[in-house]
Amino acid sequence: MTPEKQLEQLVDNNKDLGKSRSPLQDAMREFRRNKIAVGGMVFVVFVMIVAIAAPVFAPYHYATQNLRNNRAKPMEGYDILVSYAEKECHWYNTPLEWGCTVFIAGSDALGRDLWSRIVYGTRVSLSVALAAATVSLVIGLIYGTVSGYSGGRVDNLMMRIVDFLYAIPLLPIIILMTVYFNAVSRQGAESGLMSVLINLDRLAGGLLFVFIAIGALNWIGMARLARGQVLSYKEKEFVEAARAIGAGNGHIIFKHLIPNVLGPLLIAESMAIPGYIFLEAALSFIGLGVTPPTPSWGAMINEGYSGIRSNPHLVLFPGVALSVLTLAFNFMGDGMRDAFDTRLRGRN
Amino acid sequence: MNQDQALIRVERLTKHFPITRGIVFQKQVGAVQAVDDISFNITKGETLGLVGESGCGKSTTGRTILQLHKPTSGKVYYGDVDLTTASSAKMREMRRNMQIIFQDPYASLNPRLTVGSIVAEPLEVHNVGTAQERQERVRELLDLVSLNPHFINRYPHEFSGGQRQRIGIARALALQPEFIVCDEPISALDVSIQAQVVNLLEELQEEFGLTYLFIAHDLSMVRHISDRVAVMYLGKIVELAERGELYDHPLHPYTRALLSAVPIPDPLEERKRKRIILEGDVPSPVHPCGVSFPHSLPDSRSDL
Repeated sequence: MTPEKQLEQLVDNNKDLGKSRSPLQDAMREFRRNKIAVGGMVFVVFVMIVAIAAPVFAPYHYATQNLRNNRAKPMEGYDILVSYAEKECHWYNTPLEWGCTVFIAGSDALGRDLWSRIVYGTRVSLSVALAAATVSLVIGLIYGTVSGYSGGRVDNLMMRIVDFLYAIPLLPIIILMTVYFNAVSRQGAESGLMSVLINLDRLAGGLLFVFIAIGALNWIGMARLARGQVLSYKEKEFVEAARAIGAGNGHIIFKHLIPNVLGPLLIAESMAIPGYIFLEAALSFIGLGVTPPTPSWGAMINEGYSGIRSNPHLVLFPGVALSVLTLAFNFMGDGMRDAFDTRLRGRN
Repeated sequence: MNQDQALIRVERLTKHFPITRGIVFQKQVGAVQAVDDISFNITKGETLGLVGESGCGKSTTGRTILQLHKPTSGKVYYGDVDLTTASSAKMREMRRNMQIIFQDPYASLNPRLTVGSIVAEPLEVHNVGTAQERQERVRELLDLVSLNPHFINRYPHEFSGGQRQRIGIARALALQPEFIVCDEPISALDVSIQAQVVNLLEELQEEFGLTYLFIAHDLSMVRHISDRVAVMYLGKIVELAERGELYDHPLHPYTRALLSAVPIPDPLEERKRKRIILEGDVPSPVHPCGVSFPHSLPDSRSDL
C-alpha cells in the first residue's frame, strides 16, 4: 500500500470518530463488507424494480396470445402481423419494417411471450414473499412475546398449542381447503363468510390461500423464536432496572423487549423468504396457486414440463429465475445474520 | 437503634423460590430458601454493608426489599409505608425514592437505547418535565457522574465497564431517590476502576444524603464504605455490627473465617496471615439441615 493510500485510509477511518454508531449502523457497515450478500441484495432490489415496473420490462402483456407463434424458440418468431406469409423471423436478420414478433425467451404453448410472463411472475413471487413474511412475523411476534412474557401456566399452554399445530401436517389440510374454496368460488356466493373470502381472494389476485397457507405454516417457528428471545431478555438486568423505576408491562414490552427481539426475528424471516417463494412455486406447480392467466413461476414450470424434451426453454427460464431469486434472498439473509450477530465480531 | 431514624425496616423477611415438577400439573416439590427470616434497620444517611459468599442470598435480599421479588413472608417498611402490602399505584410512587445499581454493567443497559434515553427513562416513566427539561436533566446527571454530556447520543457498547457503571448510577439518581441498593456495583469492574466508582458513590452520598445498602463480597471495600456491616450465611444474617467492631472483634465463626480470607496488602504481614479453612460444603439452600452452621472449626474455640 502506498503512503498516500494509507493516509487516505487513516483519514477515512477517523472521519466518523466523533460520530456515534448505533448497533444498526454497525450492522450495516458489516453487511456492506460482505460482497456476496450485497450482490444478493442488489439482485433482490433489481427484481423489486422489475416487479413494480413490469410493463416497462415486458414487451407484451402476460396474457397476450399469439397463436401462430406458439412454442417459439428463444430469439425466434414468425412474422404474422404484416404479411401472414410465415416468413421466418430471426433476431439477426429481421428487417424492422416487417413488424416481426421476436420472443427473447421464446413463447409457450398458447403463444404467450415467456419473457413477459417471467417479468410479471416476479410480482407473484415477491408479493408472496412480502405477505407471508409480514403475516408470520406479526403473528409470531405477538404470540411469542405474550407467551414468553406471561410465563408460567399461560406460557405452558400457549406452547403446547404450538407443539400441537406443529405435529399436524398443515399442508394437506390447506390443500383441501383451497380445493374446496376454489370449487365454491366458481359457483359464487352472495353473502356470508364465503363471499368475503372470495372478494379478498380477488383483491389478492387469487393468492389468498397461498398467503394463508404460508403464513399458517411459518408463524409457528417465528413464535417459538420470539418466545425464546423474550425469555432470555426479560431476565436481563436492564428489564429489572426498568421495573425498579416503576415501568409497567407495556413499557417494558415495547421499549425493551420488542426492539431486542425484532432483530433476530427479521433475520429469521429473511432466511425463510426463499422457502416462501419455493412453497408458492410448489403450490402453483400442483395447480393450487394463482388462477390463470396470472403467471407464476411454479405454474409456468408445470405447464412447460410435459414438453421438456422438445421445448426445454419453457422449464429452463422460469426455473433459472426461481433459483436465482431464492439464491439471492439466501445470500442476503446469510449476510444479515452475520452482520447482526455481534458474537462473530467481538464487542466493538 | 432508634426506630424513628430508620429509613428502611426489614422485619422477618423471608423469600423462598419454589421448585416445581411436572409439565401440565405443576406441584411444588421444595423451595430454595434464599432469604430466611432476616431483620434489620437502615438509618437515614448510613451505608449498611452486606457481605457473604456467592449464593447466600445477598442480592435476593436487596431485590426483595425493592419488591422486585415478592417476599414469601415478612415486612419491609420504608419510613411508615409497608412496601409488601402497598398497592401497585402506591408502590410506583414509592419507587421514586428507592433505586438499584446492578452488578453487571453490560447487562444492565439496554443495548438498543442511547445513553440519553437510558438515563431519561425514569423521568419518562414518571412523567417528569417536558422533553426539553428531561434532556437538560440528563446532561446534568451525566456531568454529576463525571461523564461528558456530549455522550448523550451514544450507545452503551461504546463505553468501558466503568463508564457503563456510571451511566447506571446516573439512571439511578435521575429521580433523586433517598435509598439506593448497590448490588455488587464494583465486582465486575477492574480493580483500578473500582476505587473511582466507590469514591463517586461516596461523594454522591455526601452531596445528596443518600442511604445505601451496599452488597459486596469484597470485605476490604465494604470496610471502606460501610458504617455498619451485616454478614449473611445461607439466607440468614449471622452477625450485624458497627464496622470497626465487626472487623476487630468478629464474634461468629463464619465472620472470622471470612475475615481471615482477606489478603493483606503487605507481603511480610501476608506471610503470617493464617486462614481459617471451613471444612465441608455450605449446606444446600433447598434442604438446610437443622444446624445453621455445620462446619467444624479447627481453632475457633481456643481463641474465643
